[in-house]
Amino acid sequence: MNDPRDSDNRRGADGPDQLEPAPRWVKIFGGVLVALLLVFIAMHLAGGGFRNHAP
Amino acid sequence: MMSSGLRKAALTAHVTSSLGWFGAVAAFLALAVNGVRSSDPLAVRAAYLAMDTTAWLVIVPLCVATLITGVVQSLGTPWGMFRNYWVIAKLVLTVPASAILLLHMQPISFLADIAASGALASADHHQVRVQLIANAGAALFVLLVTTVLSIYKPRGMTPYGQRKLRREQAGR
Repeated sequence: MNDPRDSDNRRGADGPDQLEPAPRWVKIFGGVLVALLLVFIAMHLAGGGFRNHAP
Repeated sequence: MMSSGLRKAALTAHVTSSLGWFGAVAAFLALAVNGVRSSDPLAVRAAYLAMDTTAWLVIVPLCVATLITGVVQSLGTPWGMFRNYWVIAKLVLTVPASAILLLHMQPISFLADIAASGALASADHHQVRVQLIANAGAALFVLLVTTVLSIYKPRGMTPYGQRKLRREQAGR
């Protein structure tokens, strides 16, 4: 496994005090995850989920 | 930090358990599809009995092993658990997937018990059986995403990771 300290990941430490913001893929990933969570909750509230686990 | 030998052993355990989990879920999905599609009552019963065994004796142990070896990997290597976004993303996917898997063990055992008693007909409990297919498909997708994250290791350090890296570089 590569050492993260030797990879592109060290770009975040370039500035003296500035922190690099989260990359775009993290924001997209978070958005998709929240959307899936909402769909999952909606499906279970609508009766398609836990109540049917052991009919 | 772990020594090089220990790190490779932990990585081997993690890759083996996570890909074993993927393969076992793929086999589970094939059985679940067969359980819904087959018109042969014996084949249907056999499918749910095999799914129960596969789930309890292969999928759940591999799921737990994947979680444990993943945490050991992250804590024992410079990647850390909260230093890189891709490691957090894997954790965010694997922990709920494991919880959902454990929740869905109940209907698997339920169908296997009916199959063992010989009372499971091809059309019984259709909704639960289709739900098992959907769950297995979703699990395969999640495991595929975590595998892609592990291989590509997309760039991006968390603020915590960036601060820690700076402290380490300042201390050198």
